[in-house]
Amino acid sequence: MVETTKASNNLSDADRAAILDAAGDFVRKAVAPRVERPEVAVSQQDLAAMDALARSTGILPHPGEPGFALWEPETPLSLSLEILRMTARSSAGVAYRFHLAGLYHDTAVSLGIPGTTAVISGGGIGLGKGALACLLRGEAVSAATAYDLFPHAARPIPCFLPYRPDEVAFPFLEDGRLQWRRSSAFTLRAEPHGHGLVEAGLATLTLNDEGVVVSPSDPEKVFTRHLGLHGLGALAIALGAVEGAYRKAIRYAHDRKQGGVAIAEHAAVRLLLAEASTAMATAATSLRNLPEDIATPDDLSQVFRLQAALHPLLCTAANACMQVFGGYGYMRDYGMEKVVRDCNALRLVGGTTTELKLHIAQDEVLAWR
Amino acid sequence: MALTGFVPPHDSLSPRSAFRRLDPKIRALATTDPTTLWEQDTRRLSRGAQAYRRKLRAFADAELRHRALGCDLDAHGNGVQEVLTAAGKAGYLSDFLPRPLGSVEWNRVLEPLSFMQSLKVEEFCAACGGLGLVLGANGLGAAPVVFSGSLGTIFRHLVPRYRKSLAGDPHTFAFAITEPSGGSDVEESHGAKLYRPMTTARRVDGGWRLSGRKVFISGGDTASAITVFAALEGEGLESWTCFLVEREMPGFSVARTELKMGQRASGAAELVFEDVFVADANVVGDLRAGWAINRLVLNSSRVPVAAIALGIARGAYESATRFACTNMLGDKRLIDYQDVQLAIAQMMLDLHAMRATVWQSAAWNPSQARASMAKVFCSDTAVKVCENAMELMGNHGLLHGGPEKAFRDARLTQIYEGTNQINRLAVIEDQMEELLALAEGSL
Repeated sequence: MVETTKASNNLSDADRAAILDAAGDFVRKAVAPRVERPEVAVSQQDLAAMDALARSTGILPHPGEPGFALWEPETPLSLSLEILRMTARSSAGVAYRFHLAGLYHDTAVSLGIPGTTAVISGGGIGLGKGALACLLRGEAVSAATAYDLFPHAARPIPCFLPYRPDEVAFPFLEDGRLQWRRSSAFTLRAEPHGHGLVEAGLATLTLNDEGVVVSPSDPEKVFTRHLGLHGLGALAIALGAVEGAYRKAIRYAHDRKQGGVAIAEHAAVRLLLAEASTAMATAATSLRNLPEDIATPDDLSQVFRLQAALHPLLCTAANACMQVFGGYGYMRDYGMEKVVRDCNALRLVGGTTTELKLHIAQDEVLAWR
Repeated sequence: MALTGFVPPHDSLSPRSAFRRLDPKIRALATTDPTTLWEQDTRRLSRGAQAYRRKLRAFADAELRHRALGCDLDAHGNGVQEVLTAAGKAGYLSDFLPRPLGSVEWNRVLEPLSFMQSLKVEEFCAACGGLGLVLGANGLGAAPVVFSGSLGTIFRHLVPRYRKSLAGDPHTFAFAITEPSGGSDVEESHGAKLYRPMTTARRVDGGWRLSGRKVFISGGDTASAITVFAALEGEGLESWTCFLVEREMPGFSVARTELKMGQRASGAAELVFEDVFVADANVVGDLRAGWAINRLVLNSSRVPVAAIALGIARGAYESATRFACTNMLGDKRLIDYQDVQLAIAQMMLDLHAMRATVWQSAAWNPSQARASMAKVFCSDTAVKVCENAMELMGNHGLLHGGPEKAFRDARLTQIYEGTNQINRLAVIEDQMEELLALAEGSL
């Protein structure tokens, strides 16, 4: 673990650089060798080994030992995003696994829940067509909509669980106000053949009871931060994944010949590379200049705007990188198709583009009133 | 009963009931047909093609749909052979020739081959893109035999295999042009001019000795006959000649099948030719006619590839629409929300535009430009439809099968039969005279 000298708000440039160096070293030595064959699923043993090393490096939090791990309150938001982006250049699935492990820990601590907890933030049917925006602004929504907006026992929910949790925490609506519950009565079905991000543990979860209420001081704020950090992390991971794919694509474009010249000489390929490069630059620029925390409905809507604008762009970029490889891009051993699948999954988790837009629009309408 | 946001069909303001009040002479101009778009499209076909389309759909439902997920996880041993046997008996592996030589009914013998193949692969791929390719690739492999123009070749190589397939012993073809260092080069003329072919044929007594390697050959792992394109020794790609290699020929082997993103039921095989002796009787078409046959095959097959994309996208649409109609959010079904209605309408109109393109482009002799335009438009649109279908299902769209599989299957249609970049250039190549005339000011 990297020793740091100051608290986050004052984290020195040297400390920040040391943390990033350690994270880069960790990705090169602990992650990259374990994911170098994209056609083979990473074993559970390798995933567990990466988790343990990430914890000892200080990338993942130690329960009871606050530090500068991913999403800990003292960790600058930009630092968490940079570590996730760096990890995703090797494997978006592993980055998403770490992202969720850090985020679930952060939310569980905010809820005052000890132990191994996972957070299930939605009912598996989107953001309620704008209902969530109403709730976060203190506006009424129908009980039926609110019921389906959050997890409940009647509906199995596809979700990602980077570890087997002892209990799950989830939001719900009580007396018109957002609250949280916890439950250890649930069943899980692993979904090893999901579309993407399989390293993060796709599963279908069914709650077997309604759980018991937990009472954080500001439940809306906990939820807002959880959703906002989830969205920003997903964006940083998608950007990192495309950056990794782009490096491979531009190298391939220089090596592969068609029509007697390197394919990098052809406008058809250059346009694909430029498409990816433009998307990466747009996403990277957008991910600078973020607030230090995601605490208000305005902050959350801003994150959702970035997600709605950038995820489709990054998916297009991932497809462009894959297309540079021609037939080889479709083969699992080249890894390009995996980046496309992972970016597709990142576009869907935490709210699809349409759901995000409906939330943004609802929030705008409420603000205009 | 009506979806939220609409009046019921029996309401006086609904077009369905309003049109019934029109003067009977005028009523014929107003369509009030509540049948599905699939049914409406089918009724526009000739009687023979109508019956064929219905049979195809029934076959896909009975033989392909329930095997789709198993084949996606493990192509070998999950029913591909059973599908081939059933398809062979049903005549779907012998549909280039009319009865009694093949399986084409006489009431649709005048329908363009490309159109019939397109109808077939759309229906099959709506159930499973991979199994659709298993059955479609057979036609691709057999096409050079037909395009050789030689009745002798057809009777020697096609008819016996057709008979075996019809008898329940499937004998399929595969088409082998792509080489490890030449994907696009063997699909476009400018690249071909500069390309050094890796698979070559050396003249020997009574035939030829083939040496080399082909990659990404759809159905190459199960085919009993492969139409292989090779350059004559010491010559360039302009000497390309088509040779029919039979599976049991000494020196032929399948080195591996690729691990693919999708369309996994169909093996993309790497084929190795080590001094394989091919008798003169197995030369398909004239010597040095291979390039022409190859380009003709691509022109004929790119429209069915567009139909493969259409079928896969239709499968994704059907899954997502079923999800929207059977899942609730609050006190309404998802289909009752306007954004969901908009998304489904967009998929419907994308599919409609794709089908219109395929049906319009499928002719006895689709031009290079028309074939490539259909392929590019439909494959790009199919991927978009699959993305939208996944989007509509949210996190459920990540679970194995349905739109996520369709996306993986559809993505290949932007690559094979020439990448969409190469196909766009093929459009320009085909329209070069017009463009040159414009450039020279003579048009």
